[in-house]
Amino acid sequence: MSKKFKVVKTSVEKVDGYSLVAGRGVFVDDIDLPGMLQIKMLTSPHAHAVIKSINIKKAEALEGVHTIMTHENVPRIPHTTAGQGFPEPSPYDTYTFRRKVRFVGDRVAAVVAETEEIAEEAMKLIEVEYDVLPAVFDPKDAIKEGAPIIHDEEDCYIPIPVAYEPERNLCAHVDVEAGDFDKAYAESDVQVDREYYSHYAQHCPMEPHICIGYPDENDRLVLRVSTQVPFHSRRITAQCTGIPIRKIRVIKPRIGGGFGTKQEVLLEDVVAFAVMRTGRPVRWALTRKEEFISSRTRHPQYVNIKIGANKDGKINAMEMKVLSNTGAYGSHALTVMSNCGSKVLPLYRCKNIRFWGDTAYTNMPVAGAYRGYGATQAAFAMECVISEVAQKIGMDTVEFRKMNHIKSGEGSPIFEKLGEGKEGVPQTIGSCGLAECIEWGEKEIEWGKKNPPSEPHKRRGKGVAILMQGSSVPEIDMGSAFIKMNEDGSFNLLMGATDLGTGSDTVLSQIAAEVLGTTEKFIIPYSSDTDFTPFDVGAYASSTTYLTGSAVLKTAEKVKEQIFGVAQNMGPFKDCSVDEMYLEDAQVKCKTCDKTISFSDICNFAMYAKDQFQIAACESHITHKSPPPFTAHFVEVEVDTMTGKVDLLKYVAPVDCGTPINPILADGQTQGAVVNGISFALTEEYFFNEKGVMLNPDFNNYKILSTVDMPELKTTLIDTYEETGPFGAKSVSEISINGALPAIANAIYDAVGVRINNGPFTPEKVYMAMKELKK
Amino acid sequence: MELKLNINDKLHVLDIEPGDLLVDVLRKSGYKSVKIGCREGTCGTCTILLNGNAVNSCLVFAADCEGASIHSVESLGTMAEPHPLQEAFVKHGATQCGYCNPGSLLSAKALLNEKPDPTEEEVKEALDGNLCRCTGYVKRIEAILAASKKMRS
Amino acid sequence: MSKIKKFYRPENLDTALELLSDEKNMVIGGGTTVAMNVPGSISGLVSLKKLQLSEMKVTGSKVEIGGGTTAQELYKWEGINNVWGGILTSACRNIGSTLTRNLVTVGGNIVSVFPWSDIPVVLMLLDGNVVSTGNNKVPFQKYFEKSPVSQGYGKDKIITGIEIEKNTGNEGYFWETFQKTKVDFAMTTICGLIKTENKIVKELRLAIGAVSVLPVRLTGVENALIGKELTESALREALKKEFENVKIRDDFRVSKGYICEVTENLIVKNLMKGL
Repeated sequence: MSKKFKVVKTSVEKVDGYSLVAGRGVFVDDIDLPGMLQIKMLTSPHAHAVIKSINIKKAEALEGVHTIMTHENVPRIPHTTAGQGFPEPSPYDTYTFRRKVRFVGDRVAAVVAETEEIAEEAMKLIEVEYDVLPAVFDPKDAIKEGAPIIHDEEDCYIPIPVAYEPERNLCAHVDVEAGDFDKAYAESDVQVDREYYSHYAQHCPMEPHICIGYPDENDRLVLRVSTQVPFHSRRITAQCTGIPIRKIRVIKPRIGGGFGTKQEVLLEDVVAFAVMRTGRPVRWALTRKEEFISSRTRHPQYVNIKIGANKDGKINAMEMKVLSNTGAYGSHALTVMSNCGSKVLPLYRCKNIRFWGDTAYTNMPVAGAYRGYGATQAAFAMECVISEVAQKIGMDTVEFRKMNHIKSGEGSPIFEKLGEGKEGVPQTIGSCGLAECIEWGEKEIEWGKKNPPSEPHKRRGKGVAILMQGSSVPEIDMGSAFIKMNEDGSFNLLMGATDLGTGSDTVLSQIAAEVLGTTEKFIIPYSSDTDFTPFDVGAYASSTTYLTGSAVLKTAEKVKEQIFGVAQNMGPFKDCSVDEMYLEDAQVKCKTCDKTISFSDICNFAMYAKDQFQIAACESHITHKSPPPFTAHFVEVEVDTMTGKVDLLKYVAPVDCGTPINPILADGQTQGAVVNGISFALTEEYFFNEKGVMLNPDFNNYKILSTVDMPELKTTLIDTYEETGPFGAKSVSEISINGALPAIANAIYDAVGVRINNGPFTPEKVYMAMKELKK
Repeated sequence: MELKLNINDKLHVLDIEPGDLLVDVLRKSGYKSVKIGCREGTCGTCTILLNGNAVNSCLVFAADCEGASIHSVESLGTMAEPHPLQEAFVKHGATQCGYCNPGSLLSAKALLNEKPDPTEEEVKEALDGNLCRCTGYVKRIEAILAASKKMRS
Repeated sequence: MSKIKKFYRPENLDTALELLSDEKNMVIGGGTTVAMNVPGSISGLVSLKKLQLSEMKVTGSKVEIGGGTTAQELYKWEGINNVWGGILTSACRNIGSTLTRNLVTVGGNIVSVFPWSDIPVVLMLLDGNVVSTGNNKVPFQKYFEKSPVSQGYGKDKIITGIEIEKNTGNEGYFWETFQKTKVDFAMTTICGLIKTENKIVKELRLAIGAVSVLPVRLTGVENALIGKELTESALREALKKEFENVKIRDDFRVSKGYICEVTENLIVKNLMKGL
């Protein structure tokens, strides 16, 4: 299965690594522009209200204030902030400023001033009169008759032909069925029907959202943005402001993490308007508090799973019903919900499957893309119910999974039925190392062995969850690359693909180097600048390695052909056929003669000698499959019966991502995702008061794990080869965030016999459930 | 007001406001490796060494540092000649987005100054204020232990 | 446009006190609380850094710790490792992260007291005094009866240090905190000291914090159990009775009923363990 490579499948040093550790990496905020103004946003203190009047006169009069923007003086253009392909499968329900505010933290007025302090002073001088409306916070209440209508404006719509009924707070709906679920479920020996709830959480990139805009010498608008989607950012900014695309340039420098929250065009419209109005450089940086309250979150979801199985362990029927809470605006509302089904249901072999999904508007913080993208929420419910079904049958929960999980060569009706805003694409599984993942994990966790607790009042337990994700959105997302050759035999690799810390610049350089017979040190990657780099949808949907990787591979192949052509024009290779030539050690070599030509000579010849031209190519790629990576997560916990506290002792996560182009980076993706998942499962949560105000918008009270909270974590890469991927690669970035909720929940059940069906698994929740069990 | 600071072993005479925080003064003076992630002393991206101790520079008034010695990550090594810690961070995959790297490297440096041969537990404790959302910490801890070994040999 | 117009670094206590007599001025110890949020009425800051208050020493039967000592210095100081069973070391270790421990001072931690502040709970247990300007000494238990700021600390008197009576022996001490992660504000913290002879309680001290606005010494439980045989049921009964008198603060992270149960369980676990 494994193939031999020179650069690919080796852990070369991250190409921007030394720059970053030397503190040289230049992030959005690390430039000084003379005369730069600052933006501060006045936000709504109410969850639902109409702005009756807004008076900015006093604030405008404050020295140092340049302009103030509100719904009264900024054009109202419906759009979505979701940075997705065009037309977006998210409703156009957002306006740069709105007369109605829909959550605590919604935009009211932007102050542009000399300093942030002046802007803050000015904010206090803005007089706003609100007509407070009744608010609705739970999606179940939101879709009931008589609930307050959140989007009652006439001009909101969804630009693709899908269900959208804002008049009853229904932001998205999907239902599909394969086979006959009801009949198969009724006829099953064992039936389990459970509802799970996964909670609000934030991505917490160490760098909060930031955008700096300025007019260039030709009066074009330049935006330096911490974004995962520079091209969508350019397009949506143009849409909101009326500035033509040709007059906007979006630069993505180094990015301090995104995890989905930067797949959002969140600041650019306001910065663009501010630059237009003032003609000055303008900066808008979110504070950590604003990042929590006013940026994006994971979609909280109720997920109801019904599974019917036979006593022999065969799954007959599966149903997943999702009720997703998108908050005040419908960013990624449809696709996150659909992804619950499309990334979780195909994991088990079953003929009768039904998926039903609703997404509701509420007066809560706005959800968006978050690593895992619905699969996290759905896998929690599914993997807990799968364990419960196995236990009901009397089978070991791992054996039950082994018996039913999808294998290479098999398909699922869900692949075809459920896509992103339209039907999906039929596919059968190519590479699948899930069986090997399970085997490795079982051994590492010593499955079946019950360890004694460290203290008498503690209980130990083990849990499992198996997972799949996808690799890019098939037949929708496109990536491309441009490569040109330089006189010293190096190559510029220009990509719209967005390295936001993931290491994609390195991985894609390795792919180019592998094809071009050189090392990654001779590839100069650059991502991204809409003026210079070709289009790419950006860093989302686990796509960059698989999708852009293939585009890079194709481009490099084109360049290779050109190099062969030049070689043939040059003296030494006159009599050699192109079929005999190959690239190695930055040289053109020939299989039949022992002559070589260096890349440097090739490029110099092409540039200066004869039939001159720039050796360069640009290729694009779309995919027809979205091959899933697979993983099996195993965990051992110890529950303190005196407090309910869950201590994680060991977490095991082997991953099949096809060929890991860079094993250390792939492993790093896994470890980062796992720890984020654990943190989500055990401690991270939003606390709200009865008015919808978030009470803990800071790292003092919203706890993410630190070094001292780490369990023993064992990860590995299971070798498979995906024929449709570049050098056999699939995705790796998202999948491993999905395991912690179900694996830990299953382990808690194993330890103390309680099933916690909503996260996070706080000591209080576990303690109370144990108390309830005793009754 | 005037402030004398010894930044990376060079004396700087700076003009500051009495209420300025150290993080802002350092960034204004060109030390952009000192990052901002929370301004509340909770994320660790603004970590610097203040008289050898790793601290959140967002919680320190610059005026309180008169005559102090400050080290930012620029003092460790360069891209061409990295400090063993920096090299280990790259080789062990402890750098992803890199936003937390300057801070975590300085916490590690302070630890190794005091304890050249730390245990894994001591590494974890020394880095407990430097949050990282990308790596899951495993590779960061491995890198620091590897660097300490290399520096001792 | 910072509100702060002046930053003072007085070199002696008299000058510091004089500066602090101006209501526009405010004292800073480590400065961590003020850096995040300067009160609106304040335009001058008075740093205590130059007062040389960071000495730690053992003299005879006393341990003396300067008010300017950082939490990290105290945590790493061997002088307190073996005093009172090392519980002060544990408490210092629990303050924030290494980065904040390098800034937070002992004086600051006991003047701007938060419910979850770690040092105060432990001091409630110990014999010793808070020492302020003019060599004024107030026993810890009395000091924490009211908010230190309301008593004028940090305004008309500056804490120069604390002095702790050294005790002998290391048996019978415990300290435990309960929080979501290891770097977190405590939801409840308990500490105590128990000495028994033939199961009869000879000495018992118990203090709790974080569940209440200021730390509380559980004297009711102590009185009820000293001289008696320690049994779990008697202990639980005494604790429940005492908790009726403790004003449990609102903490959105946990319900009051639950955190009381946890506090009770932790005390029971630690006390019964010794038997």
